[in-house]
Amino acid sequence: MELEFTAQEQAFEEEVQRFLADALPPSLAAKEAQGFHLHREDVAPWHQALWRQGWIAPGWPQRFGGTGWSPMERFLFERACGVANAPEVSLIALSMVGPVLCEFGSDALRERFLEPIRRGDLWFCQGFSEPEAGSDLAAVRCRTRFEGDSIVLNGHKIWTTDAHMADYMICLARTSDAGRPREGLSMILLPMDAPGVWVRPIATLDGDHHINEVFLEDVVVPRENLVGEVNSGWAQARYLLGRERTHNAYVGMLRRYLARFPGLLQRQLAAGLDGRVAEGLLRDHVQLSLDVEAHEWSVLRLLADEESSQLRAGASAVKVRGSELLLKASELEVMALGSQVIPAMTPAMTPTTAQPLPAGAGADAPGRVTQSLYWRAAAIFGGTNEIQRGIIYSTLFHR
Amino acid sequence: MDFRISDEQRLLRDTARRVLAEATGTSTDASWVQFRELGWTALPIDEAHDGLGGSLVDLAFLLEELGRARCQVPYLECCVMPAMLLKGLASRGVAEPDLLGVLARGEQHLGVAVEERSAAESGGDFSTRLTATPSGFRLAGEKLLVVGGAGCEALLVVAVADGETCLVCVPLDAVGVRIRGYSAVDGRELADIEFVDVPVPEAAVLARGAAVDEALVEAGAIALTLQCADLVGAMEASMEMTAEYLQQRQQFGQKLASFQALQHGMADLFIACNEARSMLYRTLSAFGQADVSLRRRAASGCKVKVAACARQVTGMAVQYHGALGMTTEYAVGHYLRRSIVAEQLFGNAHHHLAVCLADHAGVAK
Repeated sequence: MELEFTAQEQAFEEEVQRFLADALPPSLAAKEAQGFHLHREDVAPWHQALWRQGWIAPGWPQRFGGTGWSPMERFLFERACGVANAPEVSLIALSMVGPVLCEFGSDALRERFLEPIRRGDLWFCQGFSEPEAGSDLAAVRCRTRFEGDSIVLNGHKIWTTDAHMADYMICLARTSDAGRPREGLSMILLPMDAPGVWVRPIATLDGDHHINEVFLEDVVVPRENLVGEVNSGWAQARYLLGRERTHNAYVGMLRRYLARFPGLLQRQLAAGLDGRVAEGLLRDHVQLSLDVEAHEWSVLRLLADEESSQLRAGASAVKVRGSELLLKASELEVMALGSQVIPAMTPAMTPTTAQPLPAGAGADAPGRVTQSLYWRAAAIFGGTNEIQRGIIYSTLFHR
Repeated sequence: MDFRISDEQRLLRDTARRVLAEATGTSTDASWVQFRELGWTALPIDEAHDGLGGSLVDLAFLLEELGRARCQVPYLECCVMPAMLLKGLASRGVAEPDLLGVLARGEQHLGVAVEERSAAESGGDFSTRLTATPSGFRLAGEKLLVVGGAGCEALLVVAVADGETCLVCVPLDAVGVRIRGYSAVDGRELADIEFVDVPVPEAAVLARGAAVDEALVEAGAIALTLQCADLVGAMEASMEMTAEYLQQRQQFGQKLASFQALQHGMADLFIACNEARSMLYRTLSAFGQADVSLRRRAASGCKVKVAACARQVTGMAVQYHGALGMTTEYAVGHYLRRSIVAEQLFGNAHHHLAVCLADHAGVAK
């Protein structure tokens, strides 16, 4: 057993921290910290900075522009980014489309898409979920018809994050009705500006706009936009899940919450928060810190490939706990602010703008409820926590 | 980071699991003989004192197995803890009459007498006094909850002399030592021990002052961490036992394991066991730090987290066994008893959360 980061890993982390201090625009970090949903143009400068540094696609094979980092280095990079309030960059394009194309795509598709994705010129949304296919992805219905060199798609996608800003959708569609439902699926790259693509925003509880439904009516896509072999979409989706074991653990984000809480509490005390209340909040904060430390070490154990038989259960466990702890962390901030969070707030509101903050809300208040409500989604997307508990049981105990 | 266990550790773990499973019902004395033969009494002690120089990680693996087997032998309290105290003194330049060798060779076991009636958890303000008289030192006071105390040959007693903490080695058969033995909730043997003007030769006063205070903190942090290792073993065993039971027990014409509520409950028990183990590793890692106060704080945090997980897992294990879980005849409830005792021994989660909170004193004041 070796229970410490190597000197090389520590040096790497410091290098990442120096880069973040130099290259992450402070105004973007402040906006990200507030927690409202960022737009493509907000994130663009950070995407550019990572691209120039050669760090935009850490998870890709090196010959396609990956960094060649070890899993532990990728973890350290993501954790440092989270703590420094760096926003996530074009997650679907970089963490899904890129790796799938590297592994399964034709040379022509790689040629067309990989470089523009790395540069940040192409944004993707993920078209997996449908009204009747949520956790049960094999139930996807989106129809396809092959006509010459084209595929014609008809269907209804839902909960599609960033469809309103994406250039393409990676669409999971049904290409065969033969065999088991999961055996007839394919991934198709679908341009969002094609005729017949209709995007309708879905307003969510947090008050932001990030998800949509997308209607596909006789959308014509070139045949070559189908990734890999026909009917291999399920295998491709499984490949993606298998290589992103710990993304949903949110260690960086949790560390961000922990790091800023004492300061937030101090400001509330200065503004008149009762000391006895602060003591209770601090107690919850310390308890949460311990929970996060345990959680973080669960992630490290997964990355180090401790015991492969428990990997799948372990990955589900950190997904469950990551979402639960985020909710706790964000609710603790809400509690510290008390009635300041009651007014509905938007990113445009500051004490000095035309739409001023309500008098009772301090500068810490905007975004707190929005973000806390958003984290409820973390317990739902990527396989609900109930699905994860089922996976844990069947992996470890089912006979 | 590498969490793979070495071949030696695997051997230690597998041997311990096998031997301890076969040893149920063996008397404590016979178990000590076996522990000595297996090299376990030598494990916490350096080669220079006839020990094996085992690491803290090695000890954690062994303690896990003791917890899993619900072993009643006070190995942690009467071998590892005194060894760590003596090592702490030695590292501060205090010479000792080779008690480490005595422990390593399994010739004697030493109880560690710290807790008192009033200052049980406050630390420091001990009322047990060591006084110099014309005819030598005298020890007077009372120590509580000495695990395995009645079965030891001698005790390491923490006392105060002239305002300084000191550590005194007292044979159990010395004049004026009065022992009241009793059982803990989980069946382990404890003793309250009164010292009525016990004569103490100068050589038995092992150390005084800062060295004792520091060694106590250091050994306390190690004991706390290894106690958590014991709990990790106990909770994993109770989880496995429960999964097994759900497979066997039939109600409403089907296995209990077929009910999703119970499956998801078992998933939560795994999550808790997994986090407890992660917290243990995180704490073992913290022992690489030079600063004693950091290690102590890490151990306190470990107790807070692991004790909560143990309470959850061993408690739900009883629940999922139904009425059977409430019986003493069935093993699962004994894990709950073990975790209840462990939670309160060496300070409970509230106590150690307060230790962690002290770091943040600047914020709320």
